[in-house]
Amino acid sequence: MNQMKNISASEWQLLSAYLDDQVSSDERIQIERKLDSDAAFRQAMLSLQKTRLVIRSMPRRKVPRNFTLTSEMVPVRGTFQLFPLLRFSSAFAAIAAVVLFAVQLLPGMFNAGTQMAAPAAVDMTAAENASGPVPPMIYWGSPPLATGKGGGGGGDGSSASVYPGGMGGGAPDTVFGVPSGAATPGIQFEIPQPTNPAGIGGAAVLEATPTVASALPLEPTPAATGTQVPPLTLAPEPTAGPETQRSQATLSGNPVLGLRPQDSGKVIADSQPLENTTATQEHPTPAGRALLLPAAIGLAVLAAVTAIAAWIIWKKSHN
Amino acid sequence: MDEVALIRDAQGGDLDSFNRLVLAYQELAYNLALRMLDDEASAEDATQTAFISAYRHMESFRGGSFKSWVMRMVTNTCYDELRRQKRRPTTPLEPINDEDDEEIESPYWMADDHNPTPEQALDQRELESAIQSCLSDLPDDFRSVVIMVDVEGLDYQEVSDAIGKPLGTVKSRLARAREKMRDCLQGAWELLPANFRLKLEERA
Repeated sequence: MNQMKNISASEWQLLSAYLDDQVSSDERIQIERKLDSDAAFRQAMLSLQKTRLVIRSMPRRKVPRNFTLTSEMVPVRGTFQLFPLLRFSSAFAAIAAVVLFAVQLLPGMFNAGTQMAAPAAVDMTAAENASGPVPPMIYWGSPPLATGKGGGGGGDGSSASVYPGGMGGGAPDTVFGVPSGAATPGIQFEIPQPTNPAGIGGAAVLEATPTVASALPLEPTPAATGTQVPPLTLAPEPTAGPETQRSQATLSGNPVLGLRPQDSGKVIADSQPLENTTATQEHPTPAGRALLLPAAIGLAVLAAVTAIAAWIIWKKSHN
Repeated sequence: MDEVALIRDAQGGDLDSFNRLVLAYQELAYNLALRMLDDEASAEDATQTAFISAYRHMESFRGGSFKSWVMRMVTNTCYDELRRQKRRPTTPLEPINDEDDEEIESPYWMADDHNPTPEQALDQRELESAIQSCLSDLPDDFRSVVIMVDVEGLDYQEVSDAIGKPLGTVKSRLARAREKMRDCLQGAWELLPANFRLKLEERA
């Protein structure tokens, strides 16, 4: 036993392979020389032979039954090969549907963002008004003077001076506020001559121009000049061109009033969406939208159908 | 039996051709599973699962020894079963006493055709029990190699194909497995039947 312990692992491995005739001719000669000269090596060889004989003496069992397959055990392989195709097609259709939905929704999201900006401006203006003295308010597209909705509104001193008849109170389409630090007393409002019959309103433009010398000029935009509404207050520097004045007004943060060309001469209702009074935006063509939605829905349906089919095939193949 | 033609037909989905291959290799596969798992019911399940898996993956057979490929399926199925047993060990409902359950679980009348005497059957049963106990103590990787070479009689190359390891690994694992088996059987050597020991010593 102690002699066998002297056999190294590599020698033991060589002996094991020699026993199975899995050594080269050189190795065989080397092993046989050592077997002749080394008693420990010879003893290890005997023990290995005996061990192998014992293991090989294990009886082989007969099979308790046949393991042949039936068609119930395994699916038809041709059907199963559809699984990868259906799986990938469903994934592709789902991705395509999501992309199409996203493409269709993105312009809508931009619109929603613009629509959300106007109420936020109103809120900020209201907050400024609450903290400072009475600011000059310019109502854009306000209801007609004689038949304004919610008449009797207003309430503060300035509005009372402008609308002595107690008009106002209708929700303005756009409200421009003046910074609270600006001087507000002495604001003088002039009522324009409406181009539309009284009671329709909306197109009437009211401009408020502070009479204080420090107040910046308020100029109608070029779009507004196309209307019949007479400019009520002129800017103190009439020598500047319209473009220069507009740029100055924009840069200085003061409001620019006027009507867009397409809105000139039209009646602007109170309930008209705010986006119609804001900057012009790019919208996808109706025809493009009409094509995108059915395509996206079709792809989504295709994805669902192929996914269900793939799942059914997979389920059948694993049962 | 034209094995190549049967394999080709089986790859085309012909179940009858595949079943002829099953009949050719089922005893080899079952005995490998039985020695690996040391449980007849588990060995049956593993053998059946391996053949089902083989049929499903017939297109992945790229030639070579079909016997090695089937052995690979069986070995992998046995590894899966052994891993499952280690994760969730189970307790058999049958009594553990060998003398009680071997009458039912070890149908020796099915194993041998030459109708051994009761004494021979008893000796053989003791020997098999001793060897199986030592085999079960081996690591899974060593056990599969020694079973395939020494019990099933596969050559080194077939074992290398079956386990997906190089020849050197097969040699190394086999040598270490035999060393462990030798150490294990040393204690059981005296328990081996006297006539069997005498026969072995004469042959050695």
